[in-house]
Amino acid sequence: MKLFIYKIFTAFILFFILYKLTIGHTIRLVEEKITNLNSKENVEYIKDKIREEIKNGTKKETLISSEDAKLLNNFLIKIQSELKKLNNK
Amino acid sequence: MFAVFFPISFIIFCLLSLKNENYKKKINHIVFHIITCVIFLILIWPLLWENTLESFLSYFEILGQYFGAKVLFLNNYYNSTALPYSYLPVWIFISTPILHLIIFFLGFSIMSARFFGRFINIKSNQIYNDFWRGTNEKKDFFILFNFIAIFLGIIFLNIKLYNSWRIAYFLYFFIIYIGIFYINIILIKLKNINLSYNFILKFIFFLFMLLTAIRIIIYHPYQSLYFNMLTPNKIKNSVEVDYTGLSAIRFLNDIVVENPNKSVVKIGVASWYPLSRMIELLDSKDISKIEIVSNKKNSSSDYIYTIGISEVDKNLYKKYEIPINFTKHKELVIDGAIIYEVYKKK
Repeated sequence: MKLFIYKIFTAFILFFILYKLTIGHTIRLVEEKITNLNSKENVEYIKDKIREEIKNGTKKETLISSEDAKLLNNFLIKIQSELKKLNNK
Repeated sequence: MFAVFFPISFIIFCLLSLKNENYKKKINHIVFHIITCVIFLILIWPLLWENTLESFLSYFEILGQYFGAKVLFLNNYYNSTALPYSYLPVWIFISTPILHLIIFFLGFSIMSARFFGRFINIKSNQIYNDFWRGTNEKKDFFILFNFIAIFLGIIFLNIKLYNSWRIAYFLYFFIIYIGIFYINIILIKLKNINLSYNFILKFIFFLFMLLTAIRIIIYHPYQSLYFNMLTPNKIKNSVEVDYTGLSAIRFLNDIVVENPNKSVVKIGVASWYPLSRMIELLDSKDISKIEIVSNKKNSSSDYIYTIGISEVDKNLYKKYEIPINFTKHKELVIDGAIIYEVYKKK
């Protein structure tokens, strides 16, 4: 009985360490990434990145390609006409 | 948690050494141990003087919520609950004197080998105890068991660590015990060998002790950030140093001396550190000369003081970024470790 208890205890400890070094370690990395995603630093980083991109964008001569400009123009005209229709009703 | 673990493991060891002839005496010892343990815990812990049980339980709740900041470790910022497994071993390795490390590893190897030998030779019925042969060996095994259990527990159970390994400094007791265990073995063996070997070994010990003493003098008064000789400067500057902000008083005194004619010197802080606490340590005539500005107004200050402590990831969040109208004015470097940096307005 005594030997059996020792063996069970040792096996449990070894299994725990092995688990922590393999699966537990991976879980910890994923948890860390998820926590970082919601963190204040990350939100601030994204805000800064957007600001930077807007700054760089305003420095360029043309922001969008002519094809995209046409597409956006048509899209806005379409929305405008639909809004007008709605107001006239 | 580990404060509770230690007395519990003591009781388990007492139970393991129970034998029929001293059964009653041992049980009395255990009961006495539990009662005195509780009495002394309450006596030396003022928090427990009122609503003892409630206060005791609430303490664990507070511990769980305490310190939600980031920890700088090898140039990366981690949550204090999700530090890499290497955090504690690396900190112990870089901040423990070499002599202590050597004797600890040798002592640990001997103790572990002895335990392993006993463990694989356990038989169902034997006269001796399964893990030890005498009282001294029992004490050694008790220390080894507690050290391994607490060490692995801290690493694998997401125990919050920050500001180097100060939360786990009590492990140093075990490190020293195991080191002294090795010295004791060496001294016993030395009795039987050549006198010249005896002298050489003692001289080596003395030399290492002298080196440790010299390094402590080099670091004075910042011994709390001691790094051993094997630690490269790159590592020293990629972890948290001077978390107590002790260097701030030296910085403030320097600022006062540098600006004798200025009535007020505005100082910004680009670190997670309440510099205002240190002002009180200045001479009373100098206190009014220093004005600490808030972090958001750092650009309006005359000097910016920074140490490597931040509650946010400095690589992502530019909260503590030095404004462009500032240049590096001076820094305090001890043994290659940057203690603080000062930036001055252009």
